[in-house]
Amino acid sequence: MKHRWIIVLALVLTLVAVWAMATPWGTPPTALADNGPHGGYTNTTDACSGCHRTHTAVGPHLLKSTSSYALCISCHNGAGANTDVVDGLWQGTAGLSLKGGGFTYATMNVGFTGAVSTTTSSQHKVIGMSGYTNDTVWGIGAIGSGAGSMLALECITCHDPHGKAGTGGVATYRILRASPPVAGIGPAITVPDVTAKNYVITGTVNAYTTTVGAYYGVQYPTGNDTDTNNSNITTISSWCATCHTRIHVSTAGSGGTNSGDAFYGYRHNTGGSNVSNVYTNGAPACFTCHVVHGTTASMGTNSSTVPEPGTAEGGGTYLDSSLLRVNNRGACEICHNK
Amino acid sequence: MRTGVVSANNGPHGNYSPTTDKCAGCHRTHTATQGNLLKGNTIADLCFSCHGSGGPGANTNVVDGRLEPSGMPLNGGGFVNFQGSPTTSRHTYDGSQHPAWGSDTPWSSYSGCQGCHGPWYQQWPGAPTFYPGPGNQPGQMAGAGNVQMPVTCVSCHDAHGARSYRLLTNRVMADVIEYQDPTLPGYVQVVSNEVGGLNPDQTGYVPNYTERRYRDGITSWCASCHYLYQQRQSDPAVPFDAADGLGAQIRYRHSITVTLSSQGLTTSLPLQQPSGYSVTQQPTDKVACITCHYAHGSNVRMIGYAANVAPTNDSALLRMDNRGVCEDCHKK
Repeated sequence: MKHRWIIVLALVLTLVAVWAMATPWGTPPTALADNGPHGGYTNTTDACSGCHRTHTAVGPHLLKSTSSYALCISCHNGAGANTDVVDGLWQGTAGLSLKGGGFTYATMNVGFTGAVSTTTSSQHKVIGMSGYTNDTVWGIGAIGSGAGSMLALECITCHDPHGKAGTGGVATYRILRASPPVAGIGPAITVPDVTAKNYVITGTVNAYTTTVGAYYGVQYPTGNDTDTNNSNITTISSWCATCHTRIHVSTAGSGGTNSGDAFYGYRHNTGGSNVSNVYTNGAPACFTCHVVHGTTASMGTNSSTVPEPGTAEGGGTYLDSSLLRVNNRGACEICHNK
Repeated sequence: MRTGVVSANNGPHGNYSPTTDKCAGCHRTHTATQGNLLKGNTIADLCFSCHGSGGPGANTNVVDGRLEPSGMPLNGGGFVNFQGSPTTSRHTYDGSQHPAWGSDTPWSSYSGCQGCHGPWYQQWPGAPTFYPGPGNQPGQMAGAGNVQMPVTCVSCHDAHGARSYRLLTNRVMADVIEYQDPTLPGYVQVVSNEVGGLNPDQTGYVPNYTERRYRDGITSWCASCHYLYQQRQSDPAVPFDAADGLGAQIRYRHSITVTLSSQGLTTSLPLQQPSGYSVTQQPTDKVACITCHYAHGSNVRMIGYAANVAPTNDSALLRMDNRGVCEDCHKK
């Protein structure tokens, strides 16, 4: 009888040990949006020390790094978080591409010849990157307000590292700020957070292909939304438009109707949620054609000589790859099949 | 049963009569066992002979951070224990060399060579000896880790009485940011909202060791050693080495002596209340060093990120576990 109790006790202890190793108590802390260092703080949180120094900071906002970018990538380079935005990779499972691309490298199938990791050709550049200079926010402001205005962009312009970034303090997708601190932006847009966070291109590994269900990576969020009816991706487009106000339009036939703006007169409808490869499924969203951090797409003779808004054709000041998902104007051809 | 209870600027610490016997409480004219004709082995030993565990000669048991006999926690924390547990950080009190984090150097734009050799420095009663360390160069603040101070109790407290709260020495390093007496270089009077706290050296002063009633001057006083921590980033905009492995760099610092209400914040932490004591937060209440830190020692615990903050990697005399002092105001 006594031996039986010892066996039972040993079994219980073993199960507890296994359970502990399989739960957060038995593994190093993982940083997640509105969690880890990015929200959900207790009254005696230690998270502040992850980023801030009260008396000896070397960066603004009392940061322990010289810029918010330098601080962010001290974790988000694969060293402290699975979301390696520098290389555009999910480090939890080697080789999977982040939905947003990457700032320095990205693994993308931009030519439909297979996904490879190469240097990015355009990025949402932020303070702290090598060679950074302030850039134009294309289309910010009301109709008739010029091509755009200059902005000193930081990671924290778009993301709120403290979480609760939505209107009323609600959690948002990718801790996106409902109201980025940018002069002249549109009304606040809260992009709802998702329960099951999926940071990588799904379906075929590193897809970005023309296959239905793999072009955008689809599952934003994981749930009932489909390739052609994805209300949340439409909300993200509205969020993009808080800065790129005049680029975004949700009116059917906008491509044939002059907005009256000197630089953004006729515009592609971006108010839909079609992330498939069939244009008859509806209008696209911003993310249908663009990644948000950086792309490796390359531009050819024609697509590399598209003038920046406000500059003349052939004037020598041209747009880059503009965060497009595929080379040249593949983003057009995939849907329109001309 | 204890011997007679003594109070600041009273008992052995001031207001001496022409025929006082108080000198003999601490000094031996011909048989002293340490400098300044003091009895005891060290200054701390002497102080703790009254202010030690159990409060053998004073209610203020600074070793355990208790007001005896009630056991209520002292405002300043404790050196060895506090609130029933061992301290996790403390101000040095044994005279050993220790870096004064954020301290100025003799090469600063203000003090220059006079920082060590100027006449005001020699006038500072109880002044510790400064030992500028290697690496000091003109135009660069050596900063934390390079200025070593052998701190004892009398580095901060004037045992013979002072015009400041808790017998804090009145003459400090110059270039402080508030409540200076313009007639006296480096003069700071720390005052409180205790009864009679505006004149703590006068009759009618009633010290309150367990209720936090800070009024003015304390930040400037702390900054007399931790000089750089009370400055804005751009004043002066020269790099200093914070001993955190990043070398000499321009540093950004948390604002001190700003009103909390102006930032739209509230806190349960103690503030300087220049308009007088109030239980509720007033528009004029200001952040001070003592808002976040104890003066003597703290028993709070650091884990995770908070346990790995250079240069000390300890609890840094903070009032709350980890970075509770941040969250208490900023509520992120």
